[in-house]
Formats: sequence, structure tokens, C-alpha cells
Amino acid sequence: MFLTMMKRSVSRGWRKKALAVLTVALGTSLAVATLNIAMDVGDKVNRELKSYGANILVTPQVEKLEDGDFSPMGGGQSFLPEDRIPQLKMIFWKHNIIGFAPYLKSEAALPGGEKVIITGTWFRQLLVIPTGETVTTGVRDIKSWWQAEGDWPDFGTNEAMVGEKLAGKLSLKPGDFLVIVLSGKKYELKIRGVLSSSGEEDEQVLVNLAWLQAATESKGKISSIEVSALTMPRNDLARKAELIGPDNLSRDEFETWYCSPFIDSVIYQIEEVIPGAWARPIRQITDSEGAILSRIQALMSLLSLAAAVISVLSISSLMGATALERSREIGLLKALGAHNSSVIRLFLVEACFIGVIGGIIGLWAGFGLGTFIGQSIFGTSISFKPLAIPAAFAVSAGVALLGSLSAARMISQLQPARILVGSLANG
Amino acid sequence: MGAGSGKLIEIKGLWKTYGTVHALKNVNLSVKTGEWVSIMGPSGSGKTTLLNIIGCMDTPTQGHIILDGTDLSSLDQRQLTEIRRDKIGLIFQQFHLIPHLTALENVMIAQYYHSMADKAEALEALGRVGLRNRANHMPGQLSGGEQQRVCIARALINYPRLVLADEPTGNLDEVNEKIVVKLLEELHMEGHTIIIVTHDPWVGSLGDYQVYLEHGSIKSTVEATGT
Amino acid sequence: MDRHWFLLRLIALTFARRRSRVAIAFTAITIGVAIVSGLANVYLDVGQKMTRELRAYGANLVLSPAFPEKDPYLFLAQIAEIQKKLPPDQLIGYAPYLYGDASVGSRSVLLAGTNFEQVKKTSPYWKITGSTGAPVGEHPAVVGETVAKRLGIKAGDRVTLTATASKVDVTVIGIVSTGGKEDDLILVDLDVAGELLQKPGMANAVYLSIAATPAQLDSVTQELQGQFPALTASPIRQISQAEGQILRRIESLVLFAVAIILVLTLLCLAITMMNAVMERRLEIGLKKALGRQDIEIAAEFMIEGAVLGLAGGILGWGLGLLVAQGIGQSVFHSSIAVRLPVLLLAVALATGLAVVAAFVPARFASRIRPAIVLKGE
Repeated sequence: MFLTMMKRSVSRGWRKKALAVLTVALGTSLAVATLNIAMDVGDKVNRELKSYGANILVTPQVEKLEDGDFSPMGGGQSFLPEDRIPQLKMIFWKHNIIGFAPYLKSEAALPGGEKVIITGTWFRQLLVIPTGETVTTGVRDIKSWWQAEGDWPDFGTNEAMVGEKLAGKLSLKPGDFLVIVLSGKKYELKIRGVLSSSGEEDEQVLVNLAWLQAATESKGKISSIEVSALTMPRNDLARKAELIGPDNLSRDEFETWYCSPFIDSVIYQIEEVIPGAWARPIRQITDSEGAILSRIQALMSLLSLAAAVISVLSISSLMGATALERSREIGLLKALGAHNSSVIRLFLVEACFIGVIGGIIGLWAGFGLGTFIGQSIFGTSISFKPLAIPAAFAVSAGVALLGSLSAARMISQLQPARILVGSLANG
Repeated sequence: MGAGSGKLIEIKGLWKTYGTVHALKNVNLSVKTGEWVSIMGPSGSGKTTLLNIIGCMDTPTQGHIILDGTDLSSLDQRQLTEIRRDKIGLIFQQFHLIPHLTALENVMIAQYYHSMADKAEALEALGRVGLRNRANHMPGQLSGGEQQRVCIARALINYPRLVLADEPTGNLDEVNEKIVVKLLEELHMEGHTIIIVTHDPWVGSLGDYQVYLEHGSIKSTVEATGT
Repeated sequence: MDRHWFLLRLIALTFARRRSRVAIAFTAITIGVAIVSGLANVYLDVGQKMTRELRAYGANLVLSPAFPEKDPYLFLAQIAEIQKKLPPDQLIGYAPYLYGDASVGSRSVLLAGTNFEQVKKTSPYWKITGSTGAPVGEHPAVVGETVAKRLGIKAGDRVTLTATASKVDVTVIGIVSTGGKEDDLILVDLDVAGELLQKPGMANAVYLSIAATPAQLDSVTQELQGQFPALTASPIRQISQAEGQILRRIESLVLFAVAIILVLTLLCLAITMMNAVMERRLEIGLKKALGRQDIEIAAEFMIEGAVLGLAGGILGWGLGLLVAQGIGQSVFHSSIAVRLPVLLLAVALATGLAVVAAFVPARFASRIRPAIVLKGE
């Protein structure tokens, strides 16, 4: 009997029901879109924040030395092995390593006898990982703010970039040649472009890593690597690991810590794969990143909450309208002896029905909307979060049920006699 | 207020068609000022339709209805509303008082719509229907009979040329029915023109004459024997 | 005019006696306006807030001598003057730096003099370990992590720094680790470095952290450039360029979210208000039967809507301030600026919506023949 009534109730007044489904769908889609963006925003903004530059610096470990020159360009440098670089893409969080560039620094003399720092690096280079994957990365990818007047050097050539301050001093422009003296030998470099970095590189000469290694007879040696990694803000566990050292964590805690993309666990894993390496966070980037990320995530969660609250309110008013519309029918059911509970159940089942259909439509619409928003804000699509499906269903069912509460209250307060007499009086 | 004893209503060849159904078929009727006419007949005979057309709440498909010298069939919605406001008092089966206004305020709202709210006059009207002491009660606090009396007070407050009542006693018990009928009789004595739709043979027998409708046509007109 | 007082009284009575019904519509308007106006406030302030948050990345403008070959130093007197030119509420911090070579024993090191108080503001990301206060009368020093490892220096150690002509004893109050060039430096107070390097009252560069959008920063740069031709002001592009990008993204993100919520709120309010009127269609029918013109009935409901919208709009705006402050405090740990245009917008929106939402169904209901409504069909 209940089913028959449900069937009748669904088929009758389908226009009104279609409107209800539409409202739930709209509410759900908007809530899903904000929820989806909120869930993905961490990742998106994280990538955006990568435009601030690399967040991990890998250098050789330093030992205590009794004497020598300790200025960064001084002698007694130690090196990292270049052939270990592909290992960066083989650690547990390899997908979070989005770019890196190795450096070798040396001091060269200009024809005038002036000293200048010459840096060998990867401008943009194809790297084959032992697993068979390939990666293209280099300074052009991790230093998005670098600007070149002219062009960038090609891989495997003696072409060079000259920092803009140095270029200004020597009146150099792209296409010119620069003569330098390295370890007593003269070399001629073809200048491909003038680099503007608004940093220390503005006074340096940049060349291909392989060229500098050959010229300084340090084949396979690099002095540092800058790594750009997606990490998540430190939580209590990360702070604990930092305080007592990851090796002193309990087994379970260590597992969790190791398998979370904290900056410290990524660093730990880098040190594992590159022997003799000392990896450390570039705090200007990592610490600020954490702060900004948690702000934005907090903001987006509050916004999704607001969207959910508003969805509940609008469904509530819509269900109220439906109940009102059918007050006569409800009055009759009650007059015939139906309990409040059974009339309410009829309504709630209907609400669920509307909720599920509206939820399915809203889910897809929400993904579409989320993708559109992601596309227009970040230029990349919002990735599909499987978690959003149950979340969307929970939201739409919750919204429809919560929204029906006011209607249920109205039903139970409704007095059949009044309604059936049809007078103006109402609750 | 009725001036002279000319024809107040003249209905000529009135048809009302809903789709293919003829609710009224060629009705002809005239009512003089001061007359009390009862419209009777089985359910679906077109009584209420006829009353609604006279009350400017519905328009005929064909034919003419002249109320107080004005041909209603040539008027637009706006003008019909004005006629209803100025010349007609309505009494409903279901009273239709605004639930959140007191008895007094329900009367005054009709005054306000017509011209100007006047509390003293509204109280007097309630006094006439014997409800002066219930003036500040809400409709929910009044009995059915009392509500109907407020409705009558509201219908009379603007001195209408014509009082229309649709089953005014349909929702009332015997005691209250008598009270309401007595009020209507008083109005009649004072010279009000009254058209009443009713099922009740006793109520119907009180008018000057009864019009019997069947299938949308006037079957017979009977002069009352009483009063 | 006099006669219309009755109408206003009627509306007041309607509100007073239908309290629970009015409360539903009123609550919907209030919550809707509260959320929308609160978020609008947050949106309008989010750029400013994030600009400040992004200062966590440190200095975004560097001042250096315009002609380093001729005169490689800036003078502190000049710096003080520059500082006065900048709006104090935008200047987060300014840190002068003087660099030079020094040695510890036989080992040469890079020395930098700066102002530790200001460094905390321009470079909030510095991680200083083993921080102890310097004993009174001694010169504090902060040693870069790499240098500390090489020299075997710990916090609390006393170190003698030697330069060409003089030497000074400093107490190491902490080891700094930044992953940047500071790891290779020994940092002391600017005065100490000035004396040791025989460059008193001078600096090589000044790092400024300015809470400004990229456009504002550009205009500050140009202004300084114009007023002080002896120096070069250049934005640190790594910071300022990324910042512009991030700010745009965040602002449009919040704008989208606020727009979505606005649409939902309007929908919700429209439905609620329409309900409130549809519920009273018998009343509309009756009024019509009593001879009220359609347009007048619609006007009655519109006045009710306007009053409701006005009151709900103002209260909602007030609550919206709380919502904005709540978000401001929980997300940014600071309060959100109150903007009057938001008040006007909130009230206009709520009133306009309530009026339209009342008009549509009132018009619709009045088109129904009163006879039919009153018969309860």
C-alpha cells in the first residue's frame, strides 16, 4: 500500500517534483563543485606555489675542517655524483618531485683578469630514469621567474647565458662571444641569451653542466641540486619527527611519517638515495608554503560549509512548499487515521528519492562545474577525486533529509479538520 | 439604500461554457431592487456559476447581464473589481475571514478597500450582528456561527446595492442557521436586495421567489407563499 | 494619505500575529544575507590579507647603490629617509646588509652585518636553533648552518672575528638554517660589522618587505627610484612575480565560490518568499473578492516583502560581519575590514529580492479567479 501511494505520489505532480529534483541537483552540484575544488585546491595551489622556486637544496655533507677558505667559492669543495640524479624520480614520493636542476660552480677569469662565477647546470634536459620513464627538467622549469633576452643554450654545446648585470658591465648581447680562462686554459663561449633573474645569477655566466664538467676536469661531479617537490604542511607528527629525529619515532609513526609527503620525509628519502648528500628545506619557500596552503584550505572548507548550509536552506524551503501544496492531501490522510510518522515517512522517502536523483545529476554537473572553474582559474582540470562521490551522495541525501525536517514539522502540526474545511485559517 | 423599485439586475440569454460543458444555458432572469431571490437546484446545476457571474467573479461566455444599469459583459477585469467593491457584498459558505486579523479588523479591511477605515462604524456593524463584545477576537476564537456573522457584517459595511450569499448556512448547525437567517430577514426588511444560493428547502422558501436550476437552465420560478 | 495608515497598521499586525511564519522568511533572509555579505567582505579583503600572508616569503624589494663601480655603499642616514617615505602600515620590515670578508683563526669566512630585529620581520622563515640571548655587553652573532658545521661552532660559543685592521669578540646566540645563502654567512649587528670592516654607517643593500600587490609594489619602486637617483630599487622577481600569479588565482577562486553561494542563496530566498506568499493565496482571493485590484494586492505583498527584506538585510549584514570576522580570525588570524558598500549591497539585494519574490506569486495568485480559490478547488 505504501508503495502504491509512493508510486502515485511520484507520478502525480511530476512538474513540482522535477523542480525539486532540479533544486537538489543545483544545490548538490554547487556544493560538489566547491567541495571538489576545496579538496583539490591544496594540490593546485601547491603547484602554483612552485612558481616561487625550488624548496629543497641538496649539497654534499660538510665536515669540520681545521683550516681553509670557507667562503662558498673557496677551495676544498666536495661533490655529489651526477649519476645518482635519476634516483630522485625513484623514491617513494617520486610523483611529487616535479622538477630539479643540478649545479656545478667554479670561478673563471675574464680577459681583464676580473673573477666571475661560472655555473654549469641543466637548462632543460631530457633524463631517462632506469625504470624507463623520461623526464624533462632544468632551471627553465623550476625558476619560472627567470627571463631570457635572446634564447636559451642548446644541450651539449658551448653556448652560455650571461647575467644581465655582467652583460651590462661588459656590453655583451646575444650572439656575441665571451672569452674566459678556466684552470689556466682559454675558452670561447657563444652567448645565446642575457639572463634576468633579479638574483645572484645576474652577475654570473651560466653554461651547460657537461661543458663545465669537461672544462674543469670534474666529470660526473656536481656541487648542488635544487629540487622542487609538492609537499604538505607539517602536522603534529611532522613536528615531532623534526624534534626527536625520524629514527626515534615508533615503528608505526615512522611508517606514517615516511609515507606522507612532508618536506622532511621527502628530504629523508633523497638522502637515502644519494650517498653523501645533505638535503635541507629552502625555508623561505617551504615554511611560507605551509602557511599559505593551510590558509587557503581553511578558507575553502569554510566556503564549502557555507554552500552546504545554503543548500539545506533552499531544499528546506522547497520541501516546505511541496508539503504546503499538498496540505489538503496530508489532512485527508491524517483524517483517515494515518499517524504523523507514516505521513512523514511518505515525505521522507520521497525526499530521499528526490535526493538520490538530484544527487546523481548534481554530482555530474558539479564535476563539470568544478572542472570548468579549475580550468578557468588554474588552467588545468580539477582531478577526479573518488572520495567526492560518497561525499556528494552524503551531501545530497543529508541536504534533502535535513531540508525536509521543517516540512515534517509542518505535517505533524497540521490539523486535518482545519485543512478539510478549507478555511483561511492555517497553522 | 435601494432607491425606487426598478430592475437592479437584468440577465438576458446568458451562457457559460467550460470547454464543451455548458454550465449555464440561455438563462434569463430579472431581479428588482429590494427582492430576495433564492437560487436552488441539485449539485452541478450551475447555481454557483450564476452567482459568480452576478458577483463579477466570473464572466459569461455569451449573453448580457445588466447590474444597476451597467452591462457587465462589456467591462474588463479592473472595472469588474470596482463594481464588486462598490456595489456587492459577499457572504461565503466557508466564511473566509483573514486568520491573523481580529473580527473588527476583518470588517475594517473591507471599509479600507472601499473608502476609508472607520472604527466606530465597524463596531456598529458588529453590534448589529450581535458581536460587539467579540470585536477583538481572532477568527480562530470564534464559533462557526460567529464567524459567519462577522462575514455578514463585513458584507454590509459598505452599504452594497446587492448582497450575494453562497450557501451561507451550509457549514452551520441549526441554532446558528436560525441566527444567520434572522439577520438576512432583517436585511431584507430594510430593503436590501439579496440573492442566495442554497440547498436547504427551508432557507430557500424564505425568499420572495425561488429560481430552480437544472443542467444550467432555469426549470421553474416559484413565488414564495410565506412572509 | 491618511487612509493608508490603516494599511501600514495591517502590515504591522500581520507581522506581529504571524510571527512563526514571518520568522521563517526572516530567518532565511537573515542567514542568506549574513553568508553572502560576510563572504563579500571576505572576498573584498582577501587580496589584502593574502598580500600580508605572502610576506611570509620575505623581502620583495631590494635597494642597492645605482653605480656600484663608483660607490658600492648605501648610507644609513639615506636609509632612514627612505623608510620615512614608505607608508608605515605597508612596510613590514627593512633589513640593511653589509657584507665583507673576515676570518676566524686561520679560516676565512663571509661576514654580514644586519639588524636582527628587522630580519625577523623581513625573513620570518629563518630557523634559528639553540637560540640564547647574548650576555649583557657582548656582541651577538648568528652563524649559518654550513659554516657552523665546517668550523665546529655551537650556540653559546665565543668566537673572535678578525678583519684587515681590527678584531672583535662575539657570542654565538644561534645557528641559522635557511637553505639559502645565509647558511654560508656569519651574521652580526650592522654596527659591529661596520666597525670591523671599517665601513661605519654603510650597507651594501637593504631588503624591504612591503605588503603590497604587485601593481602597488611597482609604483612604490618607481617612486623610490625617482626620489633617490643614487640607488636602484628592484623588486625581487622570484617573490613578486609568483605573488601576482598566486593572488590572482586565490581571488578568482574565492570569487567563484562566493558567486556560487550567492546563486544558491538567491534561489533559497526566492523559494522561501514565494512560499510565504503562495501560502496565503486564499487571503489573496478573498481580498480580490472584497474588491481590491490585483496591482494593489501585489503592492501590499511587496510592501511586506520590502519591510522584511530591509530588516533581514540589515540584521543579516550585522551577522555577516560576524561571519567575516569568524573567517578572518580562523583563517588569517586578523580581522576583516568593514565595507559600507557591502551594507548597501546586502540591503538592496535582500529588499529587491523580497519585493520581486512577493510580486511574482502575488501577481500569479491574483490572476486566479477568486471564486475558484474561495471554493477551495
